[in-house]
Amino acid sequence: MKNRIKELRARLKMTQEELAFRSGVRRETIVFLEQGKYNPSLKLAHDVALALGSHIEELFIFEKGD
Amino acid sequence: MTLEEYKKVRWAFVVVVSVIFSQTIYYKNYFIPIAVLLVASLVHLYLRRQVKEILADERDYALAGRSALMTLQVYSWIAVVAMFIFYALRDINPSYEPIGMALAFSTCLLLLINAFIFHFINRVRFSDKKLIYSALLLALFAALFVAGIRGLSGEDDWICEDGQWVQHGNPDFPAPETLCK
Repeated sequence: MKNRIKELRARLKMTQEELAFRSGVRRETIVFLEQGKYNPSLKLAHDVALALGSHIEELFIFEKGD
Repeated sequence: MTLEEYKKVRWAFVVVVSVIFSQTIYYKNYFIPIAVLLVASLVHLYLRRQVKEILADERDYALAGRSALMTLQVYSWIAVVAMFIFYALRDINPSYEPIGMALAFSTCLLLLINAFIFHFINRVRFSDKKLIYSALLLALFAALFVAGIRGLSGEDDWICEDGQWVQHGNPDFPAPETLCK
């Protein structure tokens, strides 16, 4: 599963720490999310999307085999 | 309290509790460690609540679950293999037998506790009867605590005195067959 977290975060000039705080997770989790190494729960995906002023379907790109 | 401060305080706390634990057990006092364990758990809970930053999130919990399962498996294997070794060597040193037995029972107990907690969390999370289940769990812990204190108190046991096993209280099991020295 790919995502556009880094891109949207950069557009908003938001730090990983800030996004982590707004999403209710640790910064390390944001790092893993951005690298595509962690699949978030539906709630976290929603919270991250909300923090970035976006929607889940815009933020996370599901591909065949995910 | 910041996360860094919390980590430092926790380390200091662990050292203090460990020293109290080891010293009191060394001097054969088993009530102080139980009391310290209870107080330490409460203080730790209080400290966690003082931290404004996020201590753990869903990724940490997922990892913790996996590591707990792996720890159980690794410990069980080590304990079972060690148990067989201790049992095989019991003729060399009779004290190996209770060590082997303790390892075997600790593995069974650990797996039982794990299964119990798994089913408890599973039920509570999807149930409306959270209060009833929590009360049952509390009652179980209270019963275990009382049983533990009674077991550690040394009442109702056989005591070795001048080369003979002497009845102390009212033990519901026969005198040990091992030599009393």
